[in-house]
Amino acid sequence: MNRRSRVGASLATITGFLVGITAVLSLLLGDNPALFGDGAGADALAQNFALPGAVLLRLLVIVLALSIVFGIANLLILHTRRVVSGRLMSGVLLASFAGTIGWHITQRGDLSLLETIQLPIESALAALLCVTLVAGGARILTRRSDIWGILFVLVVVVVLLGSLPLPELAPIAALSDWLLRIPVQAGARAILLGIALGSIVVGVRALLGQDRSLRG
Amino acid sequence: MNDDYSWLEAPQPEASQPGAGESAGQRRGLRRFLPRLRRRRLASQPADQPDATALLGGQSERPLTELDQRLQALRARSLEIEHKEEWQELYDADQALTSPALQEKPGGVISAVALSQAQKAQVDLLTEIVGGQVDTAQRPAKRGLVRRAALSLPNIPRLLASALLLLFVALPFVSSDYAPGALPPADFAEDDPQALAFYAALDSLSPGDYVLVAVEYGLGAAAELDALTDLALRHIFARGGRAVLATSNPIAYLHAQNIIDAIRDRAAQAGLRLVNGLDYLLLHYLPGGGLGIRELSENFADIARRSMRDAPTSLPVGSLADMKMLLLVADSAEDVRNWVEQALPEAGTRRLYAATSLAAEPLTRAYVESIDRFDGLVVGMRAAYTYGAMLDATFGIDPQAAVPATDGAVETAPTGSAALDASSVIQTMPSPTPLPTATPRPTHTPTPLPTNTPVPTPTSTTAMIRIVEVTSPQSPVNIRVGPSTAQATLGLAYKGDTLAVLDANADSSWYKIAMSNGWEGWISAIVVTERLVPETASNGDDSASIARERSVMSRFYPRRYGNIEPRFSQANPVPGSTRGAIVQLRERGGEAQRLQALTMGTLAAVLAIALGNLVAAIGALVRRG
Repeated sequence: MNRRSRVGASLATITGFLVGITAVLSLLLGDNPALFGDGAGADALAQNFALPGAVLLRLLVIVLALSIVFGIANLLILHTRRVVSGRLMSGVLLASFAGTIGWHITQRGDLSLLETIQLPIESALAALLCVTLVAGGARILTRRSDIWGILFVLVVVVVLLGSLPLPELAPIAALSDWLLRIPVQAGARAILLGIALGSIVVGVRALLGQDRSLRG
Repeated sequence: MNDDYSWLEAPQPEASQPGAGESAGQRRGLRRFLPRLRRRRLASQPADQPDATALLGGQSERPLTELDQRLQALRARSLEIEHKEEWQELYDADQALTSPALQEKPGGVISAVALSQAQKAQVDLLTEIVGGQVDTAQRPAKRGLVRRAALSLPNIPRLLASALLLLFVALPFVSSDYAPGALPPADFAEDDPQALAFYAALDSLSPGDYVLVAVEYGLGAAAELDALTDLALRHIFARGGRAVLATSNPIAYLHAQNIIDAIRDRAAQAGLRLVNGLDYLLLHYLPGGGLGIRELSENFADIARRSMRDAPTSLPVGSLADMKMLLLVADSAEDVRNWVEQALPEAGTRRLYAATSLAAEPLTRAYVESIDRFDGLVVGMRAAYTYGAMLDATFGIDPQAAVPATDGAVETAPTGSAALDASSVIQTMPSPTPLPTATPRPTHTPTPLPTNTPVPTPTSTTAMIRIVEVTSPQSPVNIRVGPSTAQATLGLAYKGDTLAVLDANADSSWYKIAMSNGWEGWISAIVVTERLVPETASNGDDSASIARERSVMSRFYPRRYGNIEPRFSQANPVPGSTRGAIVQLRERGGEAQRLQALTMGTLAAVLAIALGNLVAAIGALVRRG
């Protein structure tokens, strides 16, 4: 690594460390005035600690909002290039984009485009998704005919049958309910624990400068 | 083992020769620092099939010197390995390790990966999106693809599954004979305390209470959650609550706006006025997902200062803790997690209630059962049906009239049409039927509505109303928040504009004027002339005042102030005696059919999955036997 790159990486690491520590301290201390004693002085002190975190958070949200703008601009440029190279559908996309913006400006508050275009397309896509899932579900054992495939199909059938409002299927409904309440709940809680632990690990790595993706 | 590496020496196509068709920027990439090696293809690879190296080589790489030091060291070590010929003689190491020929290639072993045309097209798309250069020389001919798709045989299992689904889903709409199963109960059963808690919480709202409604769903869950959002908002309005809507999902934002508009328009037909900025307010979109929600919860006062359209709101709440409750409508576990973890801790003692799709239910239930301040949960279309029936029972619609008992098959609106007519709205507001209290948590003590007086029939009388006309030659003139030039300016009025007078200050130097959307402002008496004009009025009915304002203000609003919203503290509330009509004035047609179609569709899915896999299993057994 040359000297310039090393200095840049060091600066990025130091900046990330300082920003991260500031945000963590701000979060921990700013929300706990009791740490600074009693009275208005403690509140004021806690607010002072809370301020940097709030500012950093706001800056981050602004950057994220800007990234959306850049993303839109990038897409427009991309599709403009595609139009130039003869792609018809990119032209349709650009025209739709311009038309929607124009419609919103001139017919402010009118949601007829949503009613007539967005919602029907959403419904159609959801219906397609449903058909695709069912067709895929019907071919699970074609792709994987082992014990896990069979178990998967059985669980799918039991849960679907259990959701039906048919009194004749009460035992299956009870089994389905047990599946959802015990194994699925356990899995959901495990996922939550995993996310929490993963967040801590990533945070600590970022603070210590070990996460290279955050070092610039 | 295959010792034949002759394919590696295959000549490279002319189109992909280094330097041919490349820009100078591309040549400045990684390949500038690596030996110029020829790219080769797999022996079995068709001539028109691109390889990954060609794709990688077509992109601008970062210079080698920008790589991390450890990576550079790793590369140097790998190059040293290449020259240790003794390794080649140990344990077939030439097969275990990467072959020298491959090592010398810029793409390494990736060069051996062949991509299909479909994968190539996807890589091209991604490359274009991130701004990279696409190798257009090997782009497949579109016409050929289309022709191939047209000639391909239909996927028989998928066609069968589609036909089965379509048939089963359509049957309940064709005939009531195909309506298996029972409709959901008319109230949340005692064994679902979380749904009961959800209803009880919304039903205990008092007039003026603020509810933060987080709307976080889109494409896949609109069928499930649009109805729940609609019912929850109507419930809030009917109890006099005020909904502050927030979202980090732009599609959800459109859905929420659409639902609010429908509720408002339908209420307006009955002479009820739901005011944007008073009864509901849409905060601006929260970018950044969880970070946006965190921003909202920590800086709520700042964000709520201006509405989605950047209008001042004067929302008299400073934080989430000033809300009466938080209501989340979400279709994914991720959204639930974001709101629970980022917003709920900042909401003081306020409680969170959720309406979710079936997909988000497991993780949401884990939260509901673990967190004290996350109390209520309703899930999916069936809960929406029950919720609607409970609202009907509470606010004056007889469920039996709304849903005839003809085997529970067909549901019709009480008036024979899908929509209730304004004149048929039942304005008597009985106390809600007491709900079972299965657990200590959901205490359902609905707040009775203020009066039980029916809506009076408007009787036209001739009356005089006070108006002011802008006469100042220095047009336009200011309309201000308060009776002082020190107050902020709300807008402008032009010479000739006429404004309805609501009040005046003590010395009549300022007039308080009203607009059709509920906005109120002050205008100086110096710039206007007051006069009385005859106007058709009624005996105090609110709808008459709307008519009056519209007649007077139509030339003023929204022509000039269409993009400005009223302020929370300055608009007129919907009269309490008529709030229940907001619940009653909803479309009811087809709810039962949709639920029955859901049942039939689920049956079809089970049939398709079971039969398809049974056939597959039998086929597998036959093949193995």
